Amino acid sequence: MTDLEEHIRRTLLDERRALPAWPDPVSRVRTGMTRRRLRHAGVIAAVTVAVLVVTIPVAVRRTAPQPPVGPSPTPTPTAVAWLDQQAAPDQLGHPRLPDPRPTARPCTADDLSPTATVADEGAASGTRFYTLQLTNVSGTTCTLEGSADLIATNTTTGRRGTLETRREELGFGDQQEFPATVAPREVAMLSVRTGSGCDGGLNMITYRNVVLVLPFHRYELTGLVLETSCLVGLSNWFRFVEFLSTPPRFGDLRAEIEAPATVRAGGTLDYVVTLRSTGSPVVLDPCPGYSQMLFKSGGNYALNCAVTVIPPEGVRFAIRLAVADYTPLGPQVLMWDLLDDDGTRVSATSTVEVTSSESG
Amino acid sequence: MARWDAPPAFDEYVRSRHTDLLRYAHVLSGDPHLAADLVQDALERAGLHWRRIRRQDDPEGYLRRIIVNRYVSRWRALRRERLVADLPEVVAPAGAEPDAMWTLLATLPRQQRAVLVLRFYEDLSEAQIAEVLGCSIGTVKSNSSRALAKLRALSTVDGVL
Repeated sequence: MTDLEEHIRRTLLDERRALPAWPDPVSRVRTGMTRRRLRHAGVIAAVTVAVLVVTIPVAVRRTAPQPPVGPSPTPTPTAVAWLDQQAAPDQLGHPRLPDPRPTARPCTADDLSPTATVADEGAASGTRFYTLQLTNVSGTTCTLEGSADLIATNTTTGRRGTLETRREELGFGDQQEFPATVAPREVAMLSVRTGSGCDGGLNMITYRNVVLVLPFHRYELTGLVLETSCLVGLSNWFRFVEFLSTPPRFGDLRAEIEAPATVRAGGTLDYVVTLRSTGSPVVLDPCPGYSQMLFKSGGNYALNCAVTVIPPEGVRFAIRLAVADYTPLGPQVLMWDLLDDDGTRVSATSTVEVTSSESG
Repeated sequence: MARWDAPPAFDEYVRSRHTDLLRYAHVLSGDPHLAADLVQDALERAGLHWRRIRRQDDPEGYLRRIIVNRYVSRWRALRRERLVADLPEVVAPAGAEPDAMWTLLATLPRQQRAVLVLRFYEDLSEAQIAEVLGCSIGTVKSNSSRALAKLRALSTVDGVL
């Protein structure tokens, strides 16, 4: 193990990563489960009306106060003024994808691995995702187009047949390229979705002995058990595309926060972020966005690019954050991130003591 | 008891294991608030299917897989939802100032960071990491090498090593 790897391990295993235990973890989790059950059972619609009536005043009270319209905070004359402007979508940092790959000859059974791999992609909101994967074991690129059928046994009725499915594009957003044109040793993927949110989640069907059916071959999906109350969702074949490994624009930048020691819950936090370049001056063109967060307050904002070049000696930016009145009192971590094109961040943190809105 | 009611054993599991899951999610995400959200979400989902999960003999692995996949998956991150009904208490320990390497880890894309955490915190092999993340071993290798290269470069600049 290299020094770097050992350093990473020590950092991750550091006792400071431990977080305090929840005071009543069981109640906390069971409360959340109850909410999910209500949603699954379809009761939520009726409950929502009642809850809205009762809680609207509370919701309004809990809404983070908007920063007052007015002159920008300028803690010192040398700081670039704060810009009260949400970040535009293109300022949020989007990793770039390579150009779409042209389709090749159709894949055949001989091109593909003799068995399909099933990857459990996890569960979210009562939905479970799997990907079925076939590797191109030939020496040339080929294309797997369209979708597939699944044959399975319904364990309740004992019936075996082709599953009724719904065609969906699932799972990996803009990192999936259709159709799956796979080079040698690359993997063609097909997403499968099951859900417990239909029929109140009370009529779950279990399918076993699932077989993936392509026009030229059948693949037994050993061990895959589909439990669902919804139609099984199935994608078309796709290739998972890695983002381009482009050098980050702001790799040379470092950020540092100067924040007051305390802020009142429900108040406004004015602080300064200094950006410095550890190398050559860095040009802020196009102008990037940044995110700021203190507990649940914050969001994505446009940086004030009145100054477009960050020299080694740095530039100070005045920043303002409206602190929600429900922010727990005590030390809270203020997080500030400049958003780079490749999705990485130039980050800085500071701890601010949140005090009662009644104090002072 | 309804089919989705978790048995008492689930309560004991939550009591005894939630702090370790919080720590794991914190190491993974670098964000104590997000860590609390991830663990809450994973435990709620696990509780609804606890009997089935227990039958799989590895409930801890199942929960950690939910946590890491929800952290990594870009489409989920983009539509991040509010996951807790009640406002969580303060989870940032006082005086827990991040050290230099911890700060550098925050500059990594999520998948790269997850690979390093699974490798160096969870001590998983590349094949196991690929299984957890649902990607190829090649993707694990490339993410790992990119992450280490970036950290090496940054730590040299910052004098971390």
